[in-house]
Amino acid sequence: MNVLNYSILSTTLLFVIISGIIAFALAPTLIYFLKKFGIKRTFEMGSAKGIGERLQKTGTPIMGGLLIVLVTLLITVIFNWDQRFTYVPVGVMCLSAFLGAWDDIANVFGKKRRVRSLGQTTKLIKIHKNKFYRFWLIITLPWTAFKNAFHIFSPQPSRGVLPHEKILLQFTAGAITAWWIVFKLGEEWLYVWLPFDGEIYLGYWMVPIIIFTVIFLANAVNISDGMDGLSGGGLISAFAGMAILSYFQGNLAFSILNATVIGALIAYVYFNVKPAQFQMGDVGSLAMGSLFAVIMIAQNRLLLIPFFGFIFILEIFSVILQTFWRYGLGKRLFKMAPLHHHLELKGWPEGKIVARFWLINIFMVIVGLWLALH
Amino acid sequence: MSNQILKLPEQAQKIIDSYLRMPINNKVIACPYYTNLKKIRGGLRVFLGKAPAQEIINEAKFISQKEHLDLSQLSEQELYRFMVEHNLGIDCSGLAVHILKEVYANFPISDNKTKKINILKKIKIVPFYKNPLRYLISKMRPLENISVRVLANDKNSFEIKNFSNIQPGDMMIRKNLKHIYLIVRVEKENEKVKKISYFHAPRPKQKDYFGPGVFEKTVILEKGNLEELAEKMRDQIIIRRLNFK
Repeated sequence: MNVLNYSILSTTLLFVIISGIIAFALAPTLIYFLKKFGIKRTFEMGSAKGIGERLQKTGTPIMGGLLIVLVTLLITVIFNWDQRFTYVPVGVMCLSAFLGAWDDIANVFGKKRRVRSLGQTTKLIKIHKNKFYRFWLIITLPWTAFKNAFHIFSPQPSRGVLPHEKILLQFTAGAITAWWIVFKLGEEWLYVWLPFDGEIYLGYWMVPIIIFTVIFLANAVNISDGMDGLSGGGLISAFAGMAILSYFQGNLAFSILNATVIGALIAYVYFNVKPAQFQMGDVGSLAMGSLFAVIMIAQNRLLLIPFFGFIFILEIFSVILQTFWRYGLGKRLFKMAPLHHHLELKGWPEGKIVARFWLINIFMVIVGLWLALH
Repeated sequence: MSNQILKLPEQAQKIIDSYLRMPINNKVIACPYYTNLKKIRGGLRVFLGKAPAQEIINEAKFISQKEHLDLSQLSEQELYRFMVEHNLGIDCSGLAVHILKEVYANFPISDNKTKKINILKKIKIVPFYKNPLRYLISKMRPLENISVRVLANDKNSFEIKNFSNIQPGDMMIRKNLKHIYLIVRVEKENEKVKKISYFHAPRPKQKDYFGPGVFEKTVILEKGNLEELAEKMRDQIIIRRLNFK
């Protein structure tokens, strides 16, 4: 552990400053263009459209997360293009950002789409007059089944990227990360760090674990992005924790990468606090969630994810539990999921929820860092 | 001459009151009728006509919050309409099961002994060998899977042949198995049934009905037999009692 490496510390802080300045300078231009092209939140978006002060948010530009992605990409490519450590995390971030951007744009401009159910397909196989089409339906039946498997809980028809398309791209992002970590970084990444001087050999089990973690965290951050400043603030503390961790490990490439993200996030949150001038959108939340997962795994601190990303894990678990309660037991566990909507419906003001979630995450990052020292 | 008045236990009566007098903001209304005619599976029970009264009230408030609607500004008639239009209400079997659950929660087995029976665990809905998936679902969500047909099944209930033996908690089931009434009070005179009160949630006959969905009614009998009761109720019924003690 390299506690007294002032050179890394100084460089890290410098990149927070550089990234912050660039992001602050770019933000008004981005807001201008998002408004100009009409990439704005519509009333229809999201399940929470009617609650709290949602109505006032209609018309706010989305895709503000592009600011973080662009600044991170720009600075990393120019100053921190390290073949061993940074090109895959940034690549995965870009892939997730592409998926998010597609979703955001399709949500605003796209048409509503529907997935044909398995029942309808089998009926068509029996009765369609064109035998070539019937044959086509038979050979594509597994694909129809796959699509339907991811549409059980989603409303139909819907705009945006459909769940099966989303999961495929996220799986690709996870698979790239797994390939890089398991086959490129070296054998020591097949051992998972445990606190108090322990480690456990997982071997190639790391592959599914990494894929799952990337998909899980990308969606966790995505779900948490439901209030002004909520996910942005949580991400600042999470990346700050990771920056300190990389500083402890003496890894300059990750220190700079984390610092770059922090700087961009500070500028983003400045414009995103209530009343937000733009919202992160899927482009930012999916990208930041994946990047968070990739860096945590690459820093070999998989077990600290629940601490560094505490609020994101809390939010996604509230959705998982709510889904189980709803479909399994027919009741609601929370008034509404994710948790921040539940608290909003309980009467907590938005600012209070956001501030408390930030503080909780900061506290949990400190707990995680303490564990990392042992 | 011996008079006997038989009533439901206090807890069961509370359940009836909760459906008869639902406080929503500054209004008190009786629960509307709603049944899951579209056969939606896996939804919230509150939208399937199977929820407890409090859950229906909470959902009404929640929907009004989402729609920015002040429920206190609505008249009782408008409140009914609001609930019916949002598929909030209870169906006959759902209502019966909620009340029976409390009847059997502390069921007297002798003069000073009671037994706790969880009817949701005891009622047999579908056998495992017939449909394993539906069996598992019915174990997870029994309430939504208990219909009049299930309650009237010989595995779950038996017919009361002797009319003078009827008691609160017995079910009056329409012969075509489409409706259930629950007996809530019985008055007997020399072992002869003189008065019966029942509680039920009938399906409205009009299309745009926005009135109460649950009713308590009393029938006064002279002869004290099932035929007279059926005639006065204008329905073909049999009386059955859950058979797990």
